[in-house]
Amino acid sequence: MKLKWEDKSIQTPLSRARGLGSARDGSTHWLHQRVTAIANLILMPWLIWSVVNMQGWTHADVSAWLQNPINAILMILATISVFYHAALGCQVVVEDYIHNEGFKFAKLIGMKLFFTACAVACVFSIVKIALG
Amino acid sequence: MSSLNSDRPLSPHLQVYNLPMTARMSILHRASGVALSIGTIMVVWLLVAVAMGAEAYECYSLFVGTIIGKLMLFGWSAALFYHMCNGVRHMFWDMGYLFKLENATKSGWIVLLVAAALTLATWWHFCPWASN
Repeated sequence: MKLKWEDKSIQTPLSRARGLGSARDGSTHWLHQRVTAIANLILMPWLIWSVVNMQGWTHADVSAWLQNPINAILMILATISVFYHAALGCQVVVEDYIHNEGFKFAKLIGMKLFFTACAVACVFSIVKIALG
Repeated sequence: MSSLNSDRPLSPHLQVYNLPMTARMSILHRASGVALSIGTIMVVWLLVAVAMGAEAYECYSLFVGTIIGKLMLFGWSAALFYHMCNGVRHMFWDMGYLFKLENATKSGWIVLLVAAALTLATWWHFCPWASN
């Protein structure tokens, strides 16, 4: 069945079939937010427990803990997943509450760079410690 | 004609409207998300400090040992457990459940209780009266 407004649509049949909308992104943002949320659901309880548990540990203790491959792998997964999830979430908050186009644009770019830097700093540090 | 004492609903005016519990939880989900994005810099600091060496780690360790550092760590874990539990509630909504007002409220209370329980369980370990 064809809807009435579809006769007058300026969308081409191809773009309608792709279903990506005007931002050419479709539901990608929403989906990535959910997938990283599920990853975080597994990784974050472990991360909270580990970080809280580390209070009072010496440098040698933490190094030895990160030299265990399981801990290093989980920590890399956790930091990548959490900063990607944070970047997606903060993007929505900025888009919703900041209405000055220039400021919004600067804020979005700055946030992406910041979270990428955080993730890279974490992954490099973990690999450096793990490989001793 | 509308009259001042009509029964028609008023649009909620944020400065005088007493937000229902579900709306408070909704904005708290965003607030905790933004707070976590900033708070997770503690984890970046921890990992980079360990990678840089014993002296840099000592600085992190001393800060986390202070009452401010401990409070920040506690706030980080509490915000994470809240955001995580409420995120699960969001996933139920994504799947089409819990939309009835009473279910939205009930699941909200469950989220608050579980998040509080998880936070306390994590920190119980460090209470002076708990045996390690």
